[in-house]
Amino acid sequence: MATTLTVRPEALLTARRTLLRHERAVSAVPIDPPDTGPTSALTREVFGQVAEAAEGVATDLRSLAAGLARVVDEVTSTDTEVRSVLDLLRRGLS
Amino acid sequence: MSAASACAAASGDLTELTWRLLQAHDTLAEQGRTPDRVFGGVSGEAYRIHASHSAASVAELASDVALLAGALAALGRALADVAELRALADGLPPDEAAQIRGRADSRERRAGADWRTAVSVYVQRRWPVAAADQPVVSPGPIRPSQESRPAAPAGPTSAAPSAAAPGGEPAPPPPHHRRDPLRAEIVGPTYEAEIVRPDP
Repeated sequence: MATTLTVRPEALLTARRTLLRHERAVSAVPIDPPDTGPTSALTREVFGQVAEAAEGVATDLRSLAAGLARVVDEVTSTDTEVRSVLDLLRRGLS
Repeated sequence: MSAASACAAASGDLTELTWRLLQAHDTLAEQGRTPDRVFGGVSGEAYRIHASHSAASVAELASDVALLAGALAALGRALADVAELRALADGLPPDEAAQIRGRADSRERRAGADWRTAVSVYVQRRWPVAAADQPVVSPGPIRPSQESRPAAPAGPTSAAPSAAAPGGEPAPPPPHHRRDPLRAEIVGPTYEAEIVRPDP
């Protein structure tokens, strides 16, 4: 009985790893402003904005991954509690 | 590295960022549909909502970055044409050289104005309210040129600038290598904001 109620958080952990992989991929892209002559100052400014937006995405992906980690903790601890209760019941019945 | 090469390289980086954002979007959209059974009895509603919202904002950013990448590639091509025109002028009699240099200067100014417009459009798309207070630096939108527009391969969605070939594919030679600089000057800068997904 305990086996059938045991949760399997592998899918959540896989999803978390995927999010972190995307976070690393987005963060790894160099965002270096090129020399565009008279518009170089403008180019630097907009590249700064792009870098900031990309960092925002990376932060969001990390946040979602952390959220999944919390869910995994919760379902695992809940599952442990359920299994403990079931073990107690089983011992009481035997 | 010349300004033209630097623009092409930076455009390639922005293109790469576009692809990675699109891939993140796909994952987020998929995770926004994660069924509750996966959550082991805990409600996944908050997570799904967050993931779906993130997917939408990441898709918007990818589209905006693609616009910048395309405009920057066009600027790089224009700067390469300008350099070719100036090199051409070096071997000509003074009168002709002055004329060609004048054309090069004009082309450079137009390319700069188009880049400013693209940046203005980017800012307006990212921050519509804040952008209302900013002056428009150059009139009129950048329009894609049908002549230089690449045929979009059949496939799902969206757009990416044609400046770089993602997925390790070698990029085609820059258009300025195939064009007469004087003709390029007349045609003017172009950009493509067409996003084409790489083959999986």
